[in-house]
Amino acid sequence: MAKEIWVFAERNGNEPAGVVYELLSKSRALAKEMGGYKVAAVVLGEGNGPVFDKLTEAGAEIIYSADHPALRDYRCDIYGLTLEKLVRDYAPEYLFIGATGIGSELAPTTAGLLKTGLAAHCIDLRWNGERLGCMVPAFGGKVVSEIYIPYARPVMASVRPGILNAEAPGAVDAQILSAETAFLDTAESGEEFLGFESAGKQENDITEAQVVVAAGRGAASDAAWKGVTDLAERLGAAIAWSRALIDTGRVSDESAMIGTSGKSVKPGVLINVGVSGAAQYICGIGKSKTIISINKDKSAKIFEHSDYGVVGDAAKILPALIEKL
Amino acid sequence: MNIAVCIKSVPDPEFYDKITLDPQTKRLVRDGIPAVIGEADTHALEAALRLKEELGGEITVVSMGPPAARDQLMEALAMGADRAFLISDRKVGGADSLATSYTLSMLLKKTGTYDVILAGNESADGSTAHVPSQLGVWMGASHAANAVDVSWDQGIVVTRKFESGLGRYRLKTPCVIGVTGAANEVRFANVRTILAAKNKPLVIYSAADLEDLDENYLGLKGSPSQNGEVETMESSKQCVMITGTESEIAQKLADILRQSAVRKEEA
Amino acid sequence: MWYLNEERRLLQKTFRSYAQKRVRPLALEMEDNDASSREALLEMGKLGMFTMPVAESCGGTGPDYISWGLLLEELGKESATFGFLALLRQVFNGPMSAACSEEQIRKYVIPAVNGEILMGLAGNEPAGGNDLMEYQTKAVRDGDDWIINGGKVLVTQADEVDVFMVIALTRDQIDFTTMQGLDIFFVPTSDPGFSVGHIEHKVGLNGSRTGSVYFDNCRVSESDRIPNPWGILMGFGPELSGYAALALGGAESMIAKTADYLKNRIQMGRSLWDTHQAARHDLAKLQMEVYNFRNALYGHLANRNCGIHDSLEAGALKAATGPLMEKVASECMLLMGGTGVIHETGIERYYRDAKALQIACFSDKTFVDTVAGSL
Repeated sequence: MAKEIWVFAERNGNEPAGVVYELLSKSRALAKEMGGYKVAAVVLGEGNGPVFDKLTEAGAEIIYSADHPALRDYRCDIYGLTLEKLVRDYAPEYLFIGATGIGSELAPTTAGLLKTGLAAHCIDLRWNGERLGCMVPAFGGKVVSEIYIPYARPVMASVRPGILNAEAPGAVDAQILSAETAFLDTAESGEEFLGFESAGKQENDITEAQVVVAAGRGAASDAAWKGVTDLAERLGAAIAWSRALIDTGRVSDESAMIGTSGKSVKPGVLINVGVSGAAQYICGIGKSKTIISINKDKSAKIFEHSDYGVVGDAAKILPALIEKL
Repeated sequence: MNIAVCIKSVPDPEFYDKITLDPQTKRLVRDGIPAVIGEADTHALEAALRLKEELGGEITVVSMGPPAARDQLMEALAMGADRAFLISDRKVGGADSLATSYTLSMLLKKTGTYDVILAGNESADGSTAHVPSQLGVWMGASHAANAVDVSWDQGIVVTRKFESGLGRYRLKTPCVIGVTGAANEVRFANVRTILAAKNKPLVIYSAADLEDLDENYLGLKGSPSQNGEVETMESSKQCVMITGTESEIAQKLADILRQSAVRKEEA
Repeated sequence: MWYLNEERRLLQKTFRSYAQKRVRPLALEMEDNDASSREALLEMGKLGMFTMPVAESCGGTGPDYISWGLLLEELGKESATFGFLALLRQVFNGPMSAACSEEQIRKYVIPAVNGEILMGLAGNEPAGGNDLMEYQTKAVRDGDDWIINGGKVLVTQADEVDVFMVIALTRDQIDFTTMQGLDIFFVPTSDPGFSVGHIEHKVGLNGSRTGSVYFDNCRVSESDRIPNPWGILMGFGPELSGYAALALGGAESMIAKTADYLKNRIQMGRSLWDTHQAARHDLAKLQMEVYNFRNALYGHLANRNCGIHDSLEAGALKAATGPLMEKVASECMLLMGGTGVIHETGIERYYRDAKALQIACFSDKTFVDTVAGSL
């Protein structure tokens, strides 16, 4: 067993995906607490070179690079085989993977191949002196369970993007190791990649935004919705919403939906407009610093999770607020 | 086409706010909450029904759970599945996703050979989204999770959802697919199909009924991951209510926003 | 519930899901804009929801009246109007199954059961009362065909159905010894002589598109004349208990909504439910009435499953429908205060629907004398 914490460094073109920074940052903190561990990034793809600098800047002390044409397009079975082989060759104790589209299936695939334990969609990783506690939301965010993996190694966890903080790291001298990839020359895949349809530029990225205006069912009226969009424009904020707003038909895009079945946000300021505060929704806003909520119903649960509350009609309050800004 | 669908009986998400944590035992109290088929599983079943309508064949539903999970299998038969199998045994209980997918793979092996195995991408309660991928690993089959579309075009074609867009893949059969809620709209069961359900085969197996079971991979013992402490998500925020006329409220909100330094020109 | 078994539980779950997903979004649209329920009703047919309690020979799934009651109860929770329109399918399908020729069963009844066509009934006339002798709509024989002329009023879904059963006189007088002189014809609304008049504004049951229809030299074939018209006319009745199922659902949903409101309306840190015993008890008393009503209804339906068909009992259940809904709506509005009388809360609608239901099918007033006659 190598005293190493691995982070799967998912590539987003020539950039590491956002969650990689968050995982490297968390891993450095854990390595310090646990003592004597090194933090490594694992890159799979073709032409990985341009990513290395970014990873060392983010705190990777070792970079394992599997560079092969077979890894150009993501295929779960080929990626899984490659990661499995890397783990078997170098035997890290911990392997963290961002629960992205790729990560959320690569993680269980790899864990299955290695027959090890995997904690899913963690919102935190905690070292208690003896074991790593992987904090996992369940029952739609109603509870958070600690998952731990007592014997099997590596300990694996997939971590929800946008939850952990990515602290600015100091540059480190990294060791770069090229993984043996000859086996990929003849590896057979059960997946034929047919094509990719880009989702287009995501301008309304609610997970990265510093200010988020979130609309709920109570913001479905034309007047309230105008208030939401005007305020977001004025503040340069991203617009997010709850499942309940989608249900009204006002919006349909689930990519800006907050909640256990949607995304988590961690802005400096979150303004909830007409959001009732269902448990599923609350789970997605916990990392927000300042939470302001406007709701007609003074008994709305959202107020229990807010720093500031206003009981009133958003259609009237928002235009008044925009005027004052 | 021989299609299998894996379903899980879960507490109805409608009632998740009724779940409490017993402070003594640290166990979740979910008494009186009705069980349902997991939401994503219903989309997997719908995908199976559509494949069957297009290509013909038979749909087998499998599940692992307590004996009462039979009700959810019956519901799947009422929706149009042809036969159902449940593995219910203390030996397989307490399983994590690795042990669950092992048991399901053995149940599938016992009940037939399948071209396509569909499962809900994630369960409503545990939500690990591991089982489709790990089932694929155990069965040595190709597999895809996060499927927002499943269709037939010279083979099974799935669309995986990524952050940056949608990737289309053709999978070799047999294959396992984790189907998400975006894949389709689930039909209402037809009254005639509901009435026909009671005449369809529904078999409950115990662990002893499955051949070649490796007990090292079963249940709690076969689960590399374990449950530790459970916390309920309770907020500790103290909410300051802002009152006054609309104009006063607006002014106070503007001040708070300013203090948080988030106005556009300052950002 | 004593009348639920696994099969009925599964049916109930599907009915509930259908009512919540399809009928709930439609309810306010029907109420405010008289929006059409046609597509949803046809979809219900395709889902086999009109197969109960229809004989298998007519495309049905046999006579399980309890499952049928469960369907109407769930629909009634979301919209009394929609439930009423779904109920009408059975009101027609039941008697048609008994009174039609085999050809008519193939051509009209089975498609109606399967949601391929929507059937209507054009009976009421502007002049006279319930006396069929005074009807003005006439059908005159012309070779193998019949020519129909006349007009009908207060016709449900006047502009939505595909085929009307039209009651017409075929002689100057009805001969009550031979029962000849009155006939019922299937008239497709695509007939060039068919036209729709005014759609009425009513106190309740909005969305049922009640209106006048006219038949101007409509031509139908002899094979579209129902061989046993009295089987249709006397057949209306057994399905009356369905009205009670609608009211049951409506009452249940109003009580649940009110309890939910009282428990979540927080005053000084405590809910109205906790602080107002009187409100709790008022609601509990309504719930007790609902228990009794439910037992009466499903007991009646269970009797029907055993072949016991008591029309007076069914009529009594129907006559209890309006008053129950009216009372529960009235009390719940009061308990909810301002919220209760808001249109969108959806309780005051039942208050008005209750009035319309007292007149639907038969006026509760006229039924009283029918009961008196039996004494």
